[in-house]
Amino acid sequence: MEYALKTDGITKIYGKHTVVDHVDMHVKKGAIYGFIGKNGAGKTTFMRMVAGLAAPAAGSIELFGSEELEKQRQRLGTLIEQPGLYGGLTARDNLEVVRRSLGITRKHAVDEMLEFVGLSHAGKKKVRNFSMGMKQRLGIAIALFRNPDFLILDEPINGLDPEGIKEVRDLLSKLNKEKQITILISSHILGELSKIATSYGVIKEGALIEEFEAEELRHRCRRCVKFVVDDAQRALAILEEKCHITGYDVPGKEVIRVFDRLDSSWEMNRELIAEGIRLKECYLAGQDLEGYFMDLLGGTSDV
Amino acid sequence: MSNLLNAEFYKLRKSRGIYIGVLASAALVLMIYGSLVMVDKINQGVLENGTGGIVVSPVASSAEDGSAPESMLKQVGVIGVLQQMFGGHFVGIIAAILVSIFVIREFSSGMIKNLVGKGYPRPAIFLAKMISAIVLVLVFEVAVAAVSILLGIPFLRWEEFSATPWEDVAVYVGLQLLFGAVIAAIFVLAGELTRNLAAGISVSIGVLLFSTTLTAGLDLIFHGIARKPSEYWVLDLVSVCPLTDVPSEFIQRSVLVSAAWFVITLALGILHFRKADVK
Repeated sequence: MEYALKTDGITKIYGKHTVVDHVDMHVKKGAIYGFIGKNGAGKTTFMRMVAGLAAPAAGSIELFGSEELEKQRQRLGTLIEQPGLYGGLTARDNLEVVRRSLGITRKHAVDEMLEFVGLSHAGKKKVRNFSMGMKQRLGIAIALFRNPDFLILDEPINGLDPEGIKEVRDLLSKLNKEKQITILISSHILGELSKIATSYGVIKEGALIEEFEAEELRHRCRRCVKFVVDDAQRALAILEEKCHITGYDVPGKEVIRVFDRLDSSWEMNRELIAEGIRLKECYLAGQDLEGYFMDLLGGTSDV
Repeated sequence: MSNLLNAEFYKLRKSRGIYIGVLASAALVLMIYGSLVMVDKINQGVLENGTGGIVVSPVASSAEDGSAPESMLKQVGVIGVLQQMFGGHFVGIIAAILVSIFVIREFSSGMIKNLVGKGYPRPAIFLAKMISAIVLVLVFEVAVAAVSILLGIPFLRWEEFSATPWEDVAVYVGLQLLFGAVIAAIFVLAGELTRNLAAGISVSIGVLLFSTTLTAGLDLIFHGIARKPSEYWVLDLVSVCPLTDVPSEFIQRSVLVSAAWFVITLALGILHFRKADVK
């Protein structure tokens, strides 16, 4: 498997506080990796270490299969926390500074980039007068200079209006599909993230607690009939024999989730009771992404 | 490296700070020349002593023979005004503010992370920042020197103005530019270490104003040794730089001390920046 990013036990400690705790992340080449966690979980610090803005206390980072990070970081585009911009300069001048610092000789690159992120009308406006959304777009433009192979975006749709969010989402999808750019993206707007992410990593209190593919997430979140019974194994045998179910799982000793024949739940219910199973609960379940992550992170809405 | 410098110089061209600094300096030069004119007028009895807050003490020679004292403006001349500007730390204070803004906003507004995130070697980033800050200070100091000289024409009149010892002026300004370059490097280091505008400006101005007091203390402590520590500190050299007939030993020492402090400052800055987190 080819990875754009692979970390091994990467750790960051501030004083006595471990902010990122032995994270092993695997971002496949060509993936859009949704990085999810509550505020303060360590997402930004992790991204800062990958981008070289902070030094890890322990662990190693591989970019494109290499530990020559300075060289490989030339293939990165990053937007971490607020975009780095000069408020006193115009958008065009900000991009001009970046163009020169990256040694891009084509002067039209600035205009093209402004147009690409929808800021050509505001090229002469001073950045200090920009809205948050416009600053984010300009930050994305800076990240996209020199055609990166791997984008690291920390909350890139923060402050954008719904139209702006859709534009950025479409832009990222386009970059991923057309230019095969790998993207590591964190966002609080999980619904938006789920529309583009192909894999996910969940961080909690500095530790990466899960990594999975979008397909796996869909599987986990799909609708089902959930039975809570006294003996899941016996109940399952009954359901297989009497109701001919095939799609199910048994996540606990007393829990069965049935994914097919959802319209016949009454029949399953009846058969279990008829066979003397103590049926404690029976209901139609199914989660959206947001609900799933809330459960996973065991918290409230500040994901 | 050349790309980084190209971007830095573009930012410098777009920055208005240097123009504001030169305007403030020009205003001060005008005040110095104006004050000297008023002193002469008071000595000549045209103006009352104390006019505009300027009080002139009687000059001994003129008190004895009753003749009018020699023009203070002529005595000070262009080179004296240059000394006021450079030796009096006014230029240094403005330079401290300019460099601190130029360096620290990179860290506070976060533009530096764009470069680090693109894989540029940190020593190259720091060196580019230091070189551009030095260029900023040198351009500013050249502008201040030019303003100080040019404003001498209307005040001194051409005859007196043309009698200025230009070779001495060139050596003095040249040495001050050399010191200015090293002082700019010290301000860059202060900015890199503090990364806070208020702290950076305070530390830089503190170094500018009070470091010579420390070296004076060191001179006392090490009074037994042949050379004084203050002879090897660039800000002491700024203050004691002779106006005329500068000894070649002083020029050589100035070059060596400046080179040494530049290397020390650069090494410390790179050492710190290599390990430091970038926000």
